[in-house]
Amino acid sequence: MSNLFPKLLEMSLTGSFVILGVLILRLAGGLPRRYVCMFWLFAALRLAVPFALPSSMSLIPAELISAPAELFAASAPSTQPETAPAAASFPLTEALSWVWLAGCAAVAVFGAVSYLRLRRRTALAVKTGERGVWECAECASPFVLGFFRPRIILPAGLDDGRRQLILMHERAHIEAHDQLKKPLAYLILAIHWFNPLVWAGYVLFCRDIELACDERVVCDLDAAGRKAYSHALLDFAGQERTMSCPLAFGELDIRCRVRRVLWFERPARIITAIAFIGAVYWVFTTLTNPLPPEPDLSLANYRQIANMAYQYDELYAEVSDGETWVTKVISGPALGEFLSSADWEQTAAAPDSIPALKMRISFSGRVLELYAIDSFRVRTECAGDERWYAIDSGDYQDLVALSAYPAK
Amino acid sequence: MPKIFDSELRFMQIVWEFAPVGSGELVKLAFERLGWKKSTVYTVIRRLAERGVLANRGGIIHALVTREEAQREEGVELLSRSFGGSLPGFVAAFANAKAISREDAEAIRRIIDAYEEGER
Repeated sequence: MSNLFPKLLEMSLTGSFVILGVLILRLAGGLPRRYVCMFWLFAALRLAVPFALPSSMSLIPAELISAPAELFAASAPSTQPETAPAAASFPLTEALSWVWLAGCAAVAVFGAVSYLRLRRRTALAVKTGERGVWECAECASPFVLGFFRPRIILPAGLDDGRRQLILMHERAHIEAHDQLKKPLAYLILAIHWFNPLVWAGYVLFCRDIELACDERVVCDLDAAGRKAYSHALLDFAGQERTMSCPLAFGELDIRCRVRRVLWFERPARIITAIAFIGAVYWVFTTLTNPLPPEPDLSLANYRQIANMAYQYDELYAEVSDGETWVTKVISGPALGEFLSSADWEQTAAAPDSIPALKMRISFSGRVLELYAIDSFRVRTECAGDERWYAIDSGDYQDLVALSAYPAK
Repeated sequence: MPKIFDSELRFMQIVWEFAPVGSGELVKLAFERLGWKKSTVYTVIRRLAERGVLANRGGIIHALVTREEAQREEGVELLSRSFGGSLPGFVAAFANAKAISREDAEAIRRIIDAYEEGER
């Protein structure tokens, strides 16, 4: 579970970034919705896949990746059980896990129950002359039901013209595998239920799917056909409200849809080319992660000091007990081992720290100093370059303990 | 006069055509004409029997209400026409638009009717 949360948050943040991009993209009204759906797929990949290849082309801000990891590393239980702050926040992570799971389950169960109720209602649907098309007296609106063997459910009493157009639309849904895409999108929503951008993305994705199907149908229709189709749309407006249509999207919905139907034109080839190039660019810049920061190769880096320490059997440390200084012996390999396995964060220099110096090790041009100010700090130095690190009390104790033996 | 729901009417038409008919035969007919599963047919038979529309006497189905009597009945009731706004959001639906007012519908109707090919 400890690994799940940072990853989940990272996916949610990077996914939100991509969703924002799609929202901006959608403002280009002339872009066929069919193409926009491809970009929704990219957003879905970001939300569903916990890893991504690093690339220098990535446009994802590095904070979106590092912030979740740091947030949860700070609250993870430390190796030392006495560390009070870590112990206090560990139950918080657990509580968060349960809250997330509960929300996830609520959304998933709501969906499952709605689906099952819909299935029950269509139990008495009767087959029609056409394969995969059923009529249901209890249904006021046509829809596609089922995942792997989708059935088209029509209301009873449709006139021939209307029926044909509606079937074209529903068949377009099936051709586009929408009966699989929508539930998968819903699952992603269940996982990211805490993220309002994902909700917005889901709602808009559902709309775009419908508009894409309209486009598919209308491509092959003449003016008269488009008018008839628009009238059919109008007839079925006001009958159903799906969960995916909150009030925020306004009365312009059907008007906008009719407009698109009437005035839809096949995209110019240049638009298709631009869209294709745009999609490729999008994949390389948003489906990749930023490169990890450059490793610090300076000799003053504590890891470099560690490498040097291994080469000495014994090193001398000046240790202060508050009043006097005592020289003690440290095993070189032990120091090297300790430094190699430390995971310290580099910080800015700490001014006025000299009075708080507790231990000093110096060898072969390298210096390592241990400070206890309001927090525990380590300063390293080599060849004129210095580094400061913040360490926790556990590491501090360990470092002091290494120099247990007084020099003879 | 017992209720017959819209969805059951098609089934009753088969019953009226063939009654009295064995339940097994009825299952076959319902499957051929309606595409119903066996369990569905038996459920509907039971429901209609409870309401007194038909009777299941030892595996033979008899209609208790005649076609003429049913046709005389005005406004056959619907089980439930609308979903009360709860069509699941992940089902691919047609025209899943927000409810619109009569004025808006009229305005849109005018837009559609005024559309001529090639107009922008």
